[in-house]
Amino acid sequence: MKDTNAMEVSSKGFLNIKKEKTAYFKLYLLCALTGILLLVTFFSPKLVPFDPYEQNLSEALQGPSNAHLLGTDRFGRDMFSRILVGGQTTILTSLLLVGIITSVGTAVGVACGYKGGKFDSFVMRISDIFLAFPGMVFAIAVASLLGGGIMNAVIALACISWPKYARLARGQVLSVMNMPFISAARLSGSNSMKIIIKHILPNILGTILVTASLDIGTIIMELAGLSFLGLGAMPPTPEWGSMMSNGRSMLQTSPWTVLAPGFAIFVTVMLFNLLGDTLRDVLDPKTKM
Amino acid sequence: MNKRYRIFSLFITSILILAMLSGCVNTGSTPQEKTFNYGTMAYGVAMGNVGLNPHEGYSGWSTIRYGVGETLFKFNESMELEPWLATDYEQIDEYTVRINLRDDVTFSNGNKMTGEAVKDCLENLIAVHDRAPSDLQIKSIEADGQSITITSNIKVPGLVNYLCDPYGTIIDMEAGVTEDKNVVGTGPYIATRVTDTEINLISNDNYWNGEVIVNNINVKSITDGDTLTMALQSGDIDAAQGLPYVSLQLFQDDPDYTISSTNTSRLYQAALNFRSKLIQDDAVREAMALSMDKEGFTSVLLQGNGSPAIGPYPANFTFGGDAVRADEYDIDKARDILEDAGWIDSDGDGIREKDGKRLTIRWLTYTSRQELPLLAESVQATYKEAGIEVLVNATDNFRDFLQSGEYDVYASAFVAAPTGDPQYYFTTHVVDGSDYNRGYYRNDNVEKLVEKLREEFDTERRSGLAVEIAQQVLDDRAYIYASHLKMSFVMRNGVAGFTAHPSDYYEITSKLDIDK
Amino acid sequence: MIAISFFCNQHSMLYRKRGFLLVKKFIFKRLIQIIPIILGITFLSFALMHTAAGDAVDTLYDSNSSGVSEQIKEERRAELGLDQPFMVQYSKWLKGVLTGDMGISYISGKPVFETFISKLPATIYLMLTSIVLTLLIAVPLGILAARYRNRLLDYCIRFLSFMGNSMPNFFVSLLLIYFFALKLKVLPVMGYGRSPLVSVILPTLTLTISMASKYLRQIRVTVLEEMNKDYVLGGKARGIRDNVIFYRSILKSSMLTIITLLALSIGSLLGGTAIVESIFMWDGVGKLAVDSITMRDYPMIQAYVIWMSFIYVAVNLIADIAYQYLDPRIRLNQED
Repeated sequence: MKDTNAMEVSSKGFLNIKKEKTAYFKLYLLCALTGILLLVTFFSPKLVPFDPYEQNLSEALQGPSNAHLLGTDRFGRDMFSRILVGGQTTILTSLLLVGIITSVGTAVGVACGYKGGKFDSFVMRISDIFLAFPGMVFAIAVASLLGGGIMNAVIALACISWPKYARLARGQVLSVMNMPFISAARLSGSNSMKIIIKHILPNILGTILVTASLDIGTIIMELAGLSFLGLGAMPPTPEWGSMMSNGRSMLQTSPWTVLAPGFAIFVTVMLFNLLGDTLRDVLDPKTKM
Repeated sequence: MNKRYRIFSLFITSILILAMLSGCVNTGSTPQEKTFNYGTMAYGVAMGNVGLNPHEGYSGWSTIRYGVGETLFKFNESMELEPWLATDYEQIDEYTVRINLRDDVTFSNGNKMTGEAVKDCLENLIAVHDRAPSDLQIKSIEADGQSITITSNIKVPGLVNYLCDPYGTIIDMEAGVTEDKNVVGTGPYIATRVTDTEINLISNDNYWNGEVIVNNINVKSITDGDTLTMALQSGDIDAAQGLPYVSLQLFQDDPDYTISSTNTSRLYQAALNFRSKLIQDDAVREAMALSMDKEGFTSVLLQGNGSPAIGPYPANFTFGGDAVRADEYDIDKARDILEDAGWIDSDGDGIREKDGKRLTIRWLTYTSRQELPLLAESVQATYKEAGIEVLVNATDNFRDFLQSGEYDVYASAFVAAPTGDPQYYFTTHVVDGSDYNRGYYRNDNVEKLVEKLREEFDTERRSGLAVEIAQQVLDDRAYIYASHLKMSFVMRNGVAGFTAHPSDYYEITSKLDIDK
Repeated sequence: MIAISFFCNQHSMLYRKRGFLLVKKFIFKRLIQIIPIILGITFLSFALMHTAAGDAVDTLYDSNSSGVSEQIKEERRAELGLDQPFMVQYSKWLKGVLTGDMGISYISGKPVFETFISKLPATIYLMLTSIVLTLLIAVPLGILAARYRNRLLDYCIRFLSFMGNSMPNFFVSLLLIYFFALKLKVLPVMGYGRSPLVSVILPTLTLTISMASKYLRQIRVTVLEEMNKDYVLGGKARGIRDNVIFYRSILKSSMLTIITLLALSIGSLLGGTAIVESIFMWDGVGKLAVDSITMRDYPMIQAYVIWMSFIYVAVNLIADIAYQYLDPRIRLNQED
């Protein structure tokens, strides 16, 4: 569906023809890197040099050394192993969360945009309630209600964050709905589901995907914020955000305990953000028609 | 570059420069006056001690801590009674006690502290306070010159001890309580401004007990441990209370700072739930007591800021420390005991089973005290070595789980003897049906001994009873006592007369001195 | 608000007159719709707080690790009205609010409204400085990044935004205090006690760093999308210089999306100040909220929820109105 010629014409001036090819190259590169990250995360339990849960109080708070690549934490556990396994928790949880928010939000948004009318108004009011509700109060309240733990944090954050995608999707759907080919499809008798899947979704998916990949970083941050407030991952589960929160007081005395997870988060967020950016670069010339 | 952008950035830079310049203006005191800036974690809305009115909630702690008020008696380092605003007391009979007051004490507004004034204060206390009436059980108070006589409804052997609780601070009821919760007391300092986050004090020139050296004190509430640490490092504050354990390292070896520490009776304990089938197994309880590494917990995780506990009371009490015996850390012995009782690891996953049931302990605790999650994690690892699996549930919502009974162990923090008296802990934790007896523990012998304690006025005999009761609890392994809190003040050199006290009540006194 | 004044005079009087009537109707409808929203929110928060076991009485005594008998607790609960069924408590509270009485704090005993209002200025001050600084940083940088897309400047700017986006605000605050207060010694560690101008710097920077990183990317994306639109091509075809097209039309159209995004994010900003306020002991409404939630101080929590929702809804309403003024297409399509 890419019209290379149109791309060349519109790309004079601000865009460079050469850049488009690099865009694809970058996309493949980033996808590969992200893939490697996910693979490492997935297989981390097999790759770790030490048991990330094994405490060894006599070796607590040691700096990076040959034995312990990234040092040990206050329980004497190997930081490197904990970072690797922590990646599982952090990355998979955020991906899960973003997945939930995106799908639920998009589904609701598409339904609202497509149906319109009273249904649209009603659901939008509900989403307004969630949007206006101070997120932190909600997250703390839900997490306190259900108890600590990563899954409950996910539920809490999912409840607050889906309206954003609903709004986004709805807005996108509305702008697509005004396009002539929708009316054409309707006239020709296609049923709603077909229209949605064939015509609407492909056009909005781009923006949604890009926003989603950019949001992964934000989600990781929100999980970390909840850990700081005492909710989120339960001990001894390693999770980068809670590791940072726990290691915070040791910045001056044992900085590796907080810098290691911080760096891991940084690399992950950067990868996903770059991926999102490049995705946008690639998808964008794909016009909204 | 956009011209507008350039103008904006210039604008911002100039604002920042202006701001920094204004910050450089010294807002301190005049050169001859001494000012002490003190940062603490213990003052704040979340602690329920905002304001200085001792008759409200826990605010009395603030009144005493920051030198505004004093009580009739106080505690020494061994938590024994010493005269303060009073000189002595006589137990006239089992329901009546007469307390003689000093003759030379005045409130900071000049009014003399008489028996009438003390009577008015205490009567107001039992009229409005929530905890004091049931502690003190006062029927009536009579004032006669410089003494008062208190008559109680029931026998209260610990009455005078209870009067040392900060709610017993003597304030001038004539002056009353201001809108911002300020009061007039007898202490070395007077509060000029009281808010949720800060108290400003000036010296009381009419102080009855010596000269007050420091002129101004600013008590700042800082609830974030790292902010507190860096405030001390940068000199924003001269002393700090409540630093996170890991931060103490920064000051321990630093010659520019001094640390004053003391053992308190704040106890970290694990209550074993007798309603759980698993816990009813004697072998399991014994193995659990043997598998807790108290030394490792206190020396490594708390970085030395705690002392391993044997019984509920710390070593500075005559009935505490090693007056009782408990199981010592011995994983091998724990393993043997479990094996002999039939708990075998049949599937090789490291966790023992018996009759198809897995040896899994549900450990319930909360997070508001930093030590508890650390204890839970430590226990998780050491118990695993013995073959016991621990599932930690550290949540703010622990009351839900307490109510539903879904726990095998409940770990909590408790100030075991705030008034130096042992009765309080037993009547709250160990007696059948008591409010904090989360393990539903009951032992007839203990019930009998506690009854005797309620009626016994002789301090030595009380001590003896306390030891007996604690030993019984330990033998039954109803509780495992992990550690007692070691509380520290960290101050920069030049601060003197600022020492930590085991009761946690006394902080700012007339002895405070600072070099600037 | 800047956008409105800046661009308003670019529309003809005729447009304004016709549009104004529609806008009035629009505002009125929206105001009506606010009521069920606020009701829903307060009910939700009340319900949430009440379902969690442990109320203000429990948390007060537990936090002091002291033993208080159940009897005392029950008495206190009766005093506060906490022993009554949920709906009774809620309707009592609602009645109070409608008559202007937001109740008394369970913890301090002082009127909620007073306490809240006294702390609101501090938060608003912090929010405003953060928003201003964020816009000052994010807008120019985002535009530059889009303009010089995929060149070195773009990568540098994006790198900065990655850093900002991947550091939790409790960590940023730590680093900032460490560098500016400890190492360089140019700023105080904390305090509202000092000159407000100085003490606001570190908290503002903390908030700005995370916000600016997010907005920077949004702005970049928005501008990039605008850049691909047909009218840009048309302009170029007519020979107008790149710069002029850029700064006149693209910026104008991007402004809309930026305003909407900003308005949508007010909610999370209001929440974000909570952690920062707690760390810097900034005596504002966010810290009040954290304390109140911890202590289950229902009246205070409700006040916070109402006010924050109100502010959020108000800001979004204003943004939508601005939208109406700025984009006639939306106005004409509005058959709601």
